[in-house]
Amino acid sequence: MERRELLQIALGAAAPAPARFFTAEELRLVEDLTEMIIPADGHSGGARAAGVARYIDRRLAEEAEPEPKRLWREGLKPYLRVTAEERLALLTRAENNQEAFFKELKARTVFAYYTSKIGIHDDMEYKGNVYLKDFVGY
Amino acid sequence: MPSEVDLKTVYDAIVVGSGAAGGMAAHVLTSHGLKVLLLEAGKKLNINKELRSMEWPYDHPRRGGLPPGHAALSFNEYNFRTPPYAKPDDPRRVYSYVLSGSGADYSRNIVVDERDHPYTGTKYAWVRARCLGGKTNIWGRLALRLSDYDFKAKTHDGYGEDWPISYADLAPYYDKVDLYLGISGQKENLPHLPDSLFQRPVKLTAAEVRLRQSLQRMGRVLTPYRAGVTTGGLKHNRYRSRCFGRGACSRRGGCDIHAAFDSPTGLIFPALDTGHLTLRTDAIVHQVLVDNRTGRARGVAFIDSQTGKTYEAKARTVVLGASTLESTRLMLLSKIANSSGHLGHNFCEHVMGPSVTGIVKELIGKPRTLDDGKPGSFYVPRFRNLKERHPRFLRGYGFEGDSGTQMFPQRALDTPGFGAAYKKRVRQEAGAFISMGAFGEVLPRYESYVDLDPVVKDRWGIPVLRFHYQFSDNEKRMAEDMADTAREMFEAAGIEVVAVDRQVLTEGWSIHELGTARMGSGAKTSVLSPFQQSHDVKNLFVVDGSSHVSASCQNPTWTIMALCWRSCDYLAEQLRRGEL
Ligand SMILES: Cc1cc2nc3c(=O)[nH]c(=O)nc-3n(C[C@H](O)[C@H](O)[C@H](O)COP(=O)(O)OP(=O)(O)OC[C@H]3O[C@@H](n4cnc5c(N)ncnc54)[C@H](O)[C@@H]3O)c2cc1C
Ligand code: SF4
Repeated sequence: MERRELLQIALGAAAPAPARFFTAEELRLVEDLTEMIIPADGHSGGARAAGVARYIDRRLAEEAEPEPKRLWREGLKPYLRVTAEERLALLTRAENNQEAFFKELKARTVFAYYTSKIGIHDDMEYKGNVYLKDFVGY
Repeated sequence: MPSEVDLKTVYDAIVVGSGAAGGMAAHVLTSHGLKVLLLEAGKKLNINKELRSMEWPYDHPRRGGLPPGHAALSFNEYNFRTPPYAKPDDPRRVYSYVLSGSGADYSRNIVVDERDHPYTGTKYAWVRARCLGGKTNIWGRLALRLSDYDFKAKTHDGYGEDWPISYADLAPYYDKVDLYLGISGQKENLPHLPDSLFQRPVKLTAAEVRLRQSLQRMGRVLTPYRAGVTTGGLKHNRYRSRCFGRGACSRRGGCDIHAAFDSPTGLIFPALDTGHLTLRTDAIVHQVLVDNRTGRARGVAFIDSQTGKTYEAKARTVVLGASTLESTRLMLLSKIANSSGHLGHNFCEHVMGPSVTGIVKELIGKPRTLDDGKPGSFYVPRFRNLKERHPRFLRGYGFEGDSGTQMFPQRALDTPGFGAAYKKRVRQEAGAFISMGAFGEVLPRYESYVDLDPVVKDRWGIPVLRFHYQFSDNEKRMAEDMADTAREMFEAAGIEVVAVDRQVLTEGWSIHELGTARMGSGAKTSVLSPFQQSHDVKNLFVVDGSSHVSASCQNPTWTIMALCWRSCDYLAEQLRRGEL
């Protein structure tokens, strides 16, 4: 099971496999929304480059509980119906009201981004996980 | 399945459990040349495969998360549910909350499946590790000594009982543990937190230096984390490397180069090398066998966890080190060692939860530094009820904390907003946070106890423990003070407080369960002698935290091992003299 998945991830790099939980349309939307949460900037790539939507898709596909799946499926609906310009207004309102779907979207995006290669190395410039001769500090 | 071991032999000692206590007993007894059989309920894991200290999150298919069919209990489940925490018909494997934030997948073969290991009674987050090495495979490594403020606490404030030993009795054994296992730290000459024989300390971050200096003005101390980690190396142990400060030390459960102490590489493998130790894993001991005529233990009965077959093993002495509550469960199951009526009682532990997070404004936006390239950050020793007396509660608490950049940016999930501004803010603030949370002493009370549940049994048909235990007002008042002083100390240091958590976590979260078979000089009010020897069954010793008289607020593992060493020296000497 795990091996097959790893294989799929590896293959996925060559030819994008279909999403496993999201529809193709939903996946495109999640790519856009996660990029709105953590966009590319002059410093580093954003959620899109970090593959955040694909990661969320994989985790939801194997989720045993029905609730998170329902939250995503329902939560995405309003965003599917509006233009790209209107999304920002919708997202801002969702944050102001601390809507459940917004919290879920942000939490998953933040987790997936800052555990990705781009998040750890390019954005945070994390310097650990290497062998050191001495402790750093004062 | 483990290869069969010789069960015809009468061993000098049977040791039950292979964690800090059992591992230390195996080491000390074999060093005296005794023939020892070590029985461990869990598996022998391939720790080199198990501990993946250097794995990047993105190289793990779920970034440390559990695969389908596995579930970790959530923080909240302990708040509103009572044990047992796993429903027996749950198709998933269910684990405690441990490491669920930072990668439950890394500890899932180490902690127990709650479905197989139920318990009942009052709320309690009981973390158990069943495998060679027990909880030492994933422990936090804060290694502290107790002092006479702890051993003689009753003399100091009138509550409870003094220990039947004093610091002077144990100091030489703390020294032995320090030298044999390695400990990192800095001398502070505090009477209430004695120094160890330290190897090179970790360095403090800018934020920590600032807090240390400010605390000094209040007569308080911030000291580099005292870690049960060899930072200088150990010439006598070929299984352990020195620490290379590789960062993100705590997230993977264990240390794959064993700079951090774990019982298998620190104690058991070297003991096996002596040729005097026989190890049998998958061996769940369910009874201490006592000869009715002599009243002496003649061995133990155990079940093979895989086949369900039962066996008996014979020995001249039996040494229990199955962990605080499991050793007591074993004595209750065997209906022994309880002429005092205190077995199971005087349960205690640490209360935790209150914490503070602050930000050092001057550090925002500074170039990135490596701040977690070390096995721990800092510790603030107890300052309450030493010279003065606090009007609202007895005893004290200490803080564990850390600061600066970590692999996952601190507070990223709590930083408001989204978009470019959010991303930039997280990046700039990541190195500027500092936080700390307290561990406080829970008073032992006779009414705090465990007994056997009359109905519920574990997967192997062995009756399980039932808890009768809740925090008292002393703990609640102490917890209020923790949150207040944490805030004050940050504010005094010019650290802007961004969050204060006042919530007390469910009983058990500290994973420092202690007591239930306390030591004492009198057989009427205690279960064990000052050498952890049963008053009733003279050749039975209990060398884990069950024996502790009070909890202190210091993490217990170093004390468990020092006491065990002292008792096993005594045991060996008594055996040699034919007194046992
Ligand atoms: C995440 C975490 C962080 C921690 N952090 C710290 C810290 O910073 N500082 C500190 O001092 N302590 C810390 N601790 C606590 C520390 O791990 C324990 O104090 C220590 O491991 C206790 O040693 P022990 O030998 O009594 O029990 P354990 O290490 O639990 O070992 C007991 C062994 O006995 C076996 N056993 C149980 N029942 C039976 C039976 N019936 N038959 C045969 N074998 C049996 C178990 O399988 C286990 O291997 C932490 C623990 C955890 C889980
Ligand atoms: S920082 Fe030291 S103790 Fe921690 S995992 Fe690395 S080598 Fe081990």
